[in-house]
Amino acid sequence: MGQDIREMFRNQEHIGKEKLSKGHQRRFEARLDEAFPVEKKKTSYYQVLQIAALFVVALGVGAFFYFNNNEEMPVEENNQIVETPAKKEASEEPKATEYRLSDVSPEFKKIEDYYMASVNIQLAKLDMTPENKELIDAFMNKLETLDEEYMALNAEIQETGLNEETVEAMIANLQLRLDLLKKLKIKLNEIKQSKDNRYENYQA
Amino acid sequence: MIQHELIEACKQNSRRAQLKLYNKYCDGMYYVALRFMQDTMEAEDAMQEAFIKAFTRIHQFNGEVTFGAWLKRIVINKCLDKLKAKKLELVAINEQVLGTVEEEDNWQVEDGIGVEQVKKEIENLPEKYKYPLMLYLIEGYDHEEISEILGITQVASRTLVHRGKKKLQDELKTMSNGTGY
Repeated sequence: MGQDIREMFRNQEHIGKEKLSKGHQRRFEARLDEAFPVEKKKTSYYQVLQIAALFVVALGVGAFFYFNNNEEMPVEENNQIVETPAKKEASEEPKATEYRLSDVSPEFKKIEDYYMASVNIQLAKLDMTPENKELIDAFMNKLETLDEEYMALNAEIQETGLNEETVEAMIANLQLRLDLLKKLKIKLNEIKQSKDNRYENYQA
Repeated sequence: MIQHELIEACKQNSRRAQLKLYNKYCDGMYYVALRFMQDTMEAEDAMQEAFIKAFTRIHQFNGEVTFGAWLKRIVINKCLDKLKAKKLELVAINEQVLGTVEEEDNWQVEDGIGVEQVKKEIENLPEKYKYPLMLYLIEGYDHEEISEILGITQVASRTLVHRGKKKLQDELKTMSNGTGY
């Protein structure tokens, strides 16, 4: 007498030995239909509502993406418009950016940085007025052509190797920019002074 | 969906929620029913009818017990109803005669007797002992619950379970000893 029946039942594993016979759910649904006949219509109405709701959601999501894409498209186009010049620059630059003397020679980088910084400082100091706009624009164009020349020189060094002539030309290029800027300042001052003088003359 | 929501949906007579609950509990409830109804089809009938009954009375479910426990009570009641309907005389007890049994807490049986063997012997017990003993041992109800389910007093429940147990022990003893020493 070693076993407690209660313990035996407590410890027994509940194994599902016999499965429900097939189709039990269908039979149960039939019973449900019988017991809740009105509700069936209600549920099917619910199902219709659910499907309708699903459609609305799907449409909403679809529309969301559709309009988002539409919005994104012009943005992309804008980006392209913005980017195209950049790309052109980029497509030109690689020749230049592929090789820059300043990247190879720290000494030359120092010289280049010095000139570039000076030019930029001078540029920042310029005060644009409607009167001198034309002059400054012309100067900017000149600077741009100088920059292009500078890039060309870089490319040349890459092709032909380092030689004194090209390096000198590059430094000259930078020097020229600064000189041009100085000249521009003088010119602008002159204009300003002439104005003042005229004013003074007028007063006198 | 959480069960609580499913039950709420059932109160709204949501077919989907009803089927979800059915699918969740049908296997467990089927096993319960199968312990009472020996026939698989009868067990399925009892189980499904119990579900229908549960869904029609779902608003009475107050969450005092788990939904599974609530459902199980309904399944068992359904089974007993069906058994009664089959004119099986269930618990014909004269409580005066029964009196109060000195409750001894001896549930011992021989080693080497398996649960399946015990179940088989319970099956063979007279109806009036069989169901109280099943509810007590297999379904794990206490006497208060058994008295509610079977519509008898708690004293009767104790007595029937006790006598059933005695009979069961005797049967098992006979079985294991062949002639019953």
